[in-house]
Amino acid sequence: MPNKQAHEWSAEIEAVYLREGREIWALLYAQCSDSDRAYDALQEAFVRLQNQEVKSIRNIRAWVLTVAQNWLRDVARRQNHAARSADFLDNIVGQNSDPLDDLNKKERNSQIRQSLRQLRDEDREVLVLRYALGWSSKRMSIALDTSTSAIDMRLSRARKRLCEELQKVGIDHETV
Amino acid sequence: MKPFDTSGMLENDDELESVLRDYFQQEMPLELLEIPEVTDEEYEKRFMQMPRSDVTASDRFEKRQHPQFKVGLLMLGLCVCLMIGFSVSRFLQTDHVPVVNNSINQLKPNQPTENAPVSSDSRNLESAESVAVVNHGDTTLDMSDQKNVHESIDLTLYNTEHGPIEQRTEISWTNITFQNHKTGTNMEMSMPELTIDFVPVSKARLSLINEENGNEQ
Repeated sequence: MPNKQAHEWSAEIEAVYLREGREIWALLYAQCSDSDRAYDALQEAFVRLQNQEVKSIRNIRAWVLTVAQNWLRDVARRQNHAARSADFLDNIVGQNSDPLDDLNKKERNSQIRQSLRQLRDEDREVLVLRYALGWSSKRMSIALDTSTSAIDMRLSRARKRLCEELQKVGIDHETV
Repeated sequence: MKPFDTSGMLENDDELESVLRDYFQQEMPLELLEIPEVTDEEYEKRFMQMPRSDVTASDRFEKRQHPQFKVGLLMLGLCVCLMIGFSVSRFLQTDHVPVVNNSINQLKPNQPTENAPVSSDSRNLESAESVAVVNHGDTTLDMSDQKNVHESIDLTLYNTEHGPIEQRTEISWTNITFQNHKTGTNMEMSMPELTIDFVPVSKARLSLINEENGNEQ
């Protein structure tokens, strides 16, 4: 009987992961602007969820998001800036693409990441939901409990602020 | 000059959107990229099926925190307003308390303090033998005992244009005991009365005071 219950619990967790994983990752990414760290937080929260009692959690999605956000805050508080993975340098050798192009892309992504970090959380949130998850304004308005026009306004302002930040780090349409 | 070409990136929104989509595509973990995305209709349906208590739970970012913050501020403001209102009402109530007239009278230094000006609203209850009957609802209270205690608490001398003036501050306590015959209980009451007199002092007396002070020293 307990095994059956545990099996059902695992199936439910998997369903939640498949259903909510992307959105939770996007929200976590909006919080920390770090893909790997957001993914780690997501994984950590689901691992902890696995060890929870079945009936102790009413809203799994909210629980996972809260645990993951707390984990991110914990990491940020510790300021554990350990050496970042440099796997991409190893991968360059084995790929057929031009190494210079790859490095350029990495450099540009780094600048975009840096610019995103300068934005406010709510700006990053709408940008991530729109461009990482490809959500429509209507869906974002449902998720964020606001109107579509308000979402469009927030998106427009977020894009404008991002442009300003990108220009600060040297990405400009006039830059060659 | 930049080592790579970023021209055209910010020329219009489409360019920026394309760059951002490309960026997030690379940022998102592969495992999550492979998860199929539900349609807007499915998402809306699922969202509507969620209990309202869960929707309003802290599973969203700041959106849910703002109303709570506002309610907290509103409650705080309300409490502050209530406290101010209560304080003002208390302050206004104190205005009805009879004020002691502190007029400067040309009194002689040896004039007894009982004749000094006192509160215009105060009642003279100094007769120890008089018995007053106070109607207190159905019960009758007899005021059977009174005691007056005078106490000088301050004496200050001022040199003014009109000569030296002495400020005498005295407090007198009127203790009254009420007896309730029905219940056989006694109730004691103390009424303070503050008297501040400004009395001109003659130079002769002043010199005498100075001499006394000098002798003491």
